[in-house]
Amino acid sequence: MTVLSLPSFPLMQYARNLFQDLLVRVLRTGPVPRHVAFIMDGNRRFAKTNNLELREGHVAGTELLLKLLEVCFRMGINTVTIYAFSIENFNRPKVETDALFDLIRNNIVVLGSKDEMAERYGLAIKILGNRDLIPEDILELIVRVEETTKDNKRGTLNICFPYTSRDDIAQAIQKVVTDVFADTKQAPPPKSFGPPSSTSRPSPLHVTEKMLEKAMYTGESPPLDIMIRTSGVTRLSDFMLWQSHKNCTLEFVDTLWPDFGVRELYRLLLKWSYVKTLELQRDDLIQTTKVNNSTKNDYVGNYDEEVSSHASALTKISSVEKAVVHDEGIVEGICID
Amino acid sequence: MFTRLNQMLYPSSANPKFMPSDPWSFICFHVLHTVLLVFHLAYSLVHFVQYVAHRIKIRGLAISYHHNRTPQLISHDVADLTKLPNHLAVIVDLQDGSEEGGGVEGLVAQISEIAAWCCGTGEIKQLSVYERTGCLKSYNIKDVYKLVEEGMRSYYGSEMPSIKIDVPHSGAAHPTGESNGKVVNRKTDNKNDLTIHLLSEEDGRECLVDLTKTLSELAIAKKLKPRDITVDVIDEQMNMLVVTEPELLIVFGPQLDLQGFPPWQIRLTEIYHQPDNDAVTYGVFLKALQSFASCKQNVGK
Repeated sequence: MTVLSLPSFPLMQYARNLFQDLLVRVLRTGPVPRHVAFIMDGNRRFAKTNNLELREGHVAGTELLLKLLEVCFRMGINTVTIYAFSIENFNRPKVETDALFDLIRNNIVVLGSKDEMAERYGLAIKILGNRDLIPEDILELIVRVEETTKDNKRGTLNICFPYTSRDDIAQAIQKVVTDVFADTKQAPPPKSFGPPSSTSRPSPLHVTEKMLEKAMYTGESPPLDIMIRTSGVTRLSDFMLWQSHKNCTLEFVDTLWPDFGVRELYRLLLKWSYVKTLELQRDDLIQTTKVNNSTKNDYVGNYDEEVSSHASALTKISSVEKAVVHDEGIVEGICID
Repeated sequence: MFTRLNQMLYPSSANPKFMPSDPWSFICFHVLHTVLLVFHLAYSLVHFVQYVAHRIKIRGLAISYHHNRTPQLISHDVADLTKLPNHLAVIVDLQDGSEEGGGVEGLVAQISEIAAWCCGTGEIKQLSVYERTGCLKSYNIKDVYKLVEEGMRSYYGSEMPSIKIDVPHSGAAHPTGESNGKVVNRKTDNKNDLTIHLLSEEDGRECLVDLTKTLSELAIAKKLKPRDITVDVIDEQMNMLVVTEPELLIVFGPQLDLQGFPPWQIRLTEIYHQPDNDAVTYGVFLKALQSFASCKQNVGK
């Protein structure tokens, strides 16, 4: 069987790649999301239903992830965020968390190493999450990978590990409070220099939504456009709550993560592209009608004046003509006479 | 000048990253873009078929489930569900006021319907109603209460369950319970059969920003160390300032869009959405409860 299919296999692979490439090229002529997030759910159920070991389920999931990331970045999506490990995952049996750590360790090395994805697509890899909880050897790796890819500007791959959104919001609030606190702690200028200017000092009242947003782990990423969750679970499970509860398309897909293919991703992106195109067209329409209305209104304002001035000019002209005719007649008459 | 040209030659939806300027790639772009438009057309056809299927399904739900304004029927409908949420949240849309069942009146009518169904199940003790604009909040809470009660009376007649309406942002509540100057903890009194929380966009991000301001003031006044700000502290505050985490969220709208629903509160909330549905109906409500009963919650595991 394998011998038979071997000769055709590379050809098929080639054709498939060509086709996929074409689809990517087609899709990127339209609107492309800036930021996509994945909750990769279903690795364990996949392993169970296919009689695989738990670990193999996770491996299958990671393989798929690499494939999808390639599609995403070729399409021109700026940032992809993946939920690799939740803080709650520490509640899982140790065998499994160890396996997950191993996977993360290996994949971070693979992603960050030369002429791998990060290099090919110019990606900066960032690990988002509570670093106090990361085992030391992985932390070292992470710091190294982040360091080597930090100058890549074309895109970003955010790996959330170990992450929960509430932890994210809490640390953002903490950061902002610390900043405000530190700013106010700096001694105000001595009294001899005049009264301290209250405007230059940041006060608690100056805290804004923007400040909080910037202080989040995802502070440097563009706003989230699509959140995809597989395996039919319709919860956010403490993932990017602040980022996804507004102006973001939520997609809950029934397939298990390792079965979720490029085709399905393509379908979701096409859907987004379609909806976005309609939205943009509607915005354009609103804008142009607004512009038209405003110019029309301006014009209407002047129109009456113009008409009346035209009318008066016309009457003037005709009276002048009449006068001329009259004069000419007179002149002629005079001449004839 | 060049950008003007590009604007004329490329559709406004195109990604500027892939707008080449030499003629060959320009032709390529337009060929590919035409293919994309064909795809969009195909997708819109698929979408239309889906839409029709969804509408038929919703109609079917409406036919097969009806409450007949009798609480007994509602409790019979949910009798064989293994679990029901204690705290239900719904996202409703403010409809155009000129249409029938629209405007603020329509909104209040919807709320009283949902409240009546919740009381009918017997398990749901808290109902959070999210309406993005918060238009209801500008009305006197007693008037809203009266209207909701009136609507529920058509279900319950003289056996009216005791309800309470609470507006977290302004701190208004009706009935207030003890009123001799003592602040009653809004969340802990469980004397009522149903507590309705009216939420809007300002209870989301804005509330977290306000909390940050308060915490900064406390830090400056040396009453709190920034290091002590933890998830638990914030959670406690959010529970007190807004609402606790709902177990089920029903989105009664054609698109699955959270519209700025308070982010802190939707951590593990089960989200139910009936595609292409545009009305608050009992069938959708029941379907959501059924799907909630069949899902299993496993935090992190």
